[in-house]
Amino acid sequence: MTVSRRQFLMISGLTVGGVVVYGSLPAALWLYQNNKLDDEQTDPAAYQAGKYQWAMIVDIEKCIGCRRCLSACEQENHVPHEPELYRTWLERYEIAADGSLQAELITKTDLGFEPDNDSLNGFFVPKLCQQCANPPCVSVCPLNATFRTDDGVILMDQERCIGCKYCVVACPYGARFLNPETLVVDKCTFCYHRITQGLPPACVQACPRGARSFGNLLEPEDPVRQRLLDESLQVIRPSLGTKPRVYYTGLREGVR
Amino acid sequence: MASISQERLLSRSNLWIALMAAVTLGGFTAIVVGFVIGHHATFNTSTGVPWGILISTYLFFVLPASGLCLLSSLGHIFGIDRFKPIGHRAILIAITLMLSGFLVIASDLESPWRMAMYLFVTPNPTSPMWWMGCLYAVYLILLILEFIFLCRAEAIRRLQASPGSTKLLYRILAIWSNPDMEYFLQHSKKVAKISGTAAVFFAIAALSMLGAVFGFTSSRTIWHGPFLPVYFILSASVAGSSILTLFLVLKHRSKGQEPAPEIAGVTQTLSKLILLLIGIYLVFTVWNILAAQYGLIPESYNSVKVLVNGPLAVSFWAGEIIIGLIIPIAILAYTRGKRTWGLIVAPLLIFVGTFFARYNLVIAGQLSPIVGQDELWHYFPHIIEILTVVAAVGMWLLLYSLGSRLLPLEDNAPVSGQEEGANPPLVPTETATDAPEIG
Amino acid sequence: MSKLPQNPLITMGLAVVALAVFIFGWILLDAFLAPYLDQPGSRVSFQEIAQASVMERQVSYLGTEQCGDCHQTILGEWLESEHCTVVCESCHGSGGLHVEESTSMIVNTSADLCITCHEACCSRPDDFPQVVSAEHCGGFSCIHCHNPMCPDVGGAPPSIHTVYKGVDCRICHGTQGFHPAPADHAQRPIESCTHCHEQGGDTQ
Repeated sequence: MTVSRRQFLMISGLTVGGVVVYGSLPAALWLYQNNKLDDEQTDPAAYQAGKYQWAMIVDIEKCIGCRRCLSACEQENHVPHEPELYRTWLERYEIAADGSLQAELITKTDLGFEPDNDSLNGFFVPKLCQQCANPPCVSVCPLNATFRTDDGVILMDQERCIGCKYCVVACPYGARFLNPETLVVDKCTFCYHRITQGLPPACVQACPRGARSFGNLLEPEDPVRQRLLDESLQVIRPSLGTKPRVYYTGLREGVR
Repeated sequence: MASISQERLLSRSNLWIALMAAVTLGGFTAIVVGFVIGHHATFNTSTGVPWGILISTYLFFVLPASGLCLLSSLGHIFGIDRFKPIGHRAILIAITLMLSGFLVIASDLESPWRMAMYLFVTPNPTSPMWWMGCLYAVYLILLILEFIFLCRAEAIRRLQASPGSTKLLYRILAIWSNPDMEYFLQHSKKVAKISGTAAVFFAIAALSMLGAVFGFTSSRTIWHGPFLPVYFILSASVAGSSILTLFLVLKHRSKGQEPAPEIAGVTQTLSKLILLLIGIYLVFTVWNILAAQYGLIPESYNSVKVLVNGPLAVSFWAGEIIIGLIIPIAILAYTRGKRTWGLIVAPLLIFVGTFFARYNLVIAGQLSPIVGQDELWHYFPHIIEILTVVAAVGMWLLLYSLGSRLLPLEDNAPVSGQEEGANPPLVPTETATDAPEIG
Repeated sequence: MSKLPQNPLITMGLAVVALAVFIFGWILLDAFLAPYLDQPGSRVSFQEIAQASVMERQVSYLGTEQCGDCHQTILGEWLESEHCTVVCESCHGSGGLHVEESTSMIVNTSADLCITCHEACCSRPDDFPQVVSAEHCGGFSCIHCHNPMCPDVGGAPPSIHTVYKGVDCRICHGTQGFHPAPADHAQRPIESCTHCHEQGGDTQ
């Protein structure tokens, strides 16, 4: 097939034109975004993320199910006060006589619990984003709107999320939800605005029983790191290979 | 064109199009209302069930759209003569289905415009959804390209046959054509063939990638694994061949018309193909359910229990199994594609059945909680969600009817004596005329 | 070999293919090469911008130290009590707005707040003090006997709490320690019930 000189010019002209027109949109956005930080006050470089690897240990046997962590989280992170929407939430397990577990989700509005005569024992499991080292939510997000920082926290990009809810579906821990106020997916950030200032996450601060401990795995003297080395800690659903950064003690088989 | 008589204006075909336009308009209002009020109030999706009927309807639309491309390729690319007359219509249905599918998925997103903004700015190549979006976008472009050039060739051919034709659309399609028509026709077909071949590759890639969107979610046991990509390809072929058969029969066999022998032949072949495919599809469905509950492994067992003996039981047994599989198989096996009523009812039931099948697939994967909660999540679509689905179906039928009527499709070549607007309406007529025997 | 016709539509078709190639080329470039092309520190990625915007959020859960800046007395009492692990904002709500706009921090004094922690429940650890609220206090508000800042009732209830409906609680419940029922409750004759309990009512 021979192509005439005129056609060749036409084809190449259209191709180049298309490339320029189409390419200018991403390029303009790219440049715009990369210069955007100059106008802002906080420089993330001041906080050296590389020096930290954040992790949490939850002691199930200490938890009394008081939901102080839930309300602290809600107030600190402006989570809408609707049942179902949690950055950190609480599950109540009862152990029946045959050893099987019955689970229920504790809502924000529950007051106390009905005394249950059938079950003799039980426990609470406080849950939050497990801050996986191998997060399924990050790999499925079509536009990179959720990402893992250098210090091991999964964050959301509020400007980029399209609300497809794929991450909500893909998260094996049910840690994500669509925030009806911001119209983007919301999740626990380990109170990233607090930990980067040296404050503990709000839930850790609020827990009256010290059931949650928070620390930096790169700091040799850190108690969380020490416990991770000394004790036998568990993670939820280890078979999925997500490598969570939230560890549990006293986690029974059957907690999911 | 100049003077349209009143009977013409009030013909069933026009009424059908007006009705579909009204339905579409009403549905669009609901979509706008949904965005204005906010999806948290107008969708019944929740943290536990983030994907609702709109995602399943998206699957319902785009699966047959891909299957139809495979079917049209049988004639145009693989050169099976029997399938040649259906190529145009198959692609028209595919394009209209894709457009409706995109409408549904866009109304499910919270900020669909960001998708257009950032799709190529910050892509995530590890996301099957990103690949799926790109592959379907390219697929749609290729389909449209193929369709334009197929119609262009047909338009040129018809203008050549009757030089005095007043059809504006034909003239637009035939614009810039070389005086050397025969020569030009070949080139149009060549472009159509190239883009059609590419479209087949993209159809399979996009379909299996769509399966991977579900298959990659390790948290949902009932979806996880290589089953869904394969199942989607099969299911797409079933749904695609059904809808094509249905529309072909409605177009050519209703009103007691004698269909052209090649149309009668292809519908009968299609009905046999459907019977084969749906048999395999039934086998897939059965083993998927059995394998998931064998051994009572909690996660998969709980999801299947939702289908078999739970909130989705009616939708599963009545919608997916009986309406979508058992009755059509019985009808097709009984009529063997020789009776018009069988060629209308069976594909229609299969196509409706796939709607339930997609709904069951999407919802059953989510109803059983993955967090510590024994109680199942609840989901039933909100009225706005249902109206969005209605809008998409209405838009699909509207676009298809308009396209079928106005565009030069190969299989509706003007019969002598009928000049324009000769297409019968899409309303299923109850005339169960026996199809002629195919020798 | 034939000559391509002078057809802009075919040319456009080729342009579309070129566009598709470009799209995927751009993706490859963007996703795989961009990190290597950037000089470290010269550009900020979109993710670092998102990270910075998360870091800029306001802290509203302030912590006990900051409460103690103003409320030293009550903090001292609280520090000595069994409730010293329950930080102020657990019951009073976050203090961010209180510091900025002096909003009220007075909390719900009904039992609702207390029983979120202390209602008996089989899932709670056994070493944690729990009561069945319906049986424990007979309708009294918790703060009737317990000071939330210092909840232990080791001795007699504080004097403001000793008189209820004109009757001194200590007559029955004793001055040393506090028990739900009087020590001699079982030995009392039935006729004397209505001295303390309202007829047809609950334990009052």
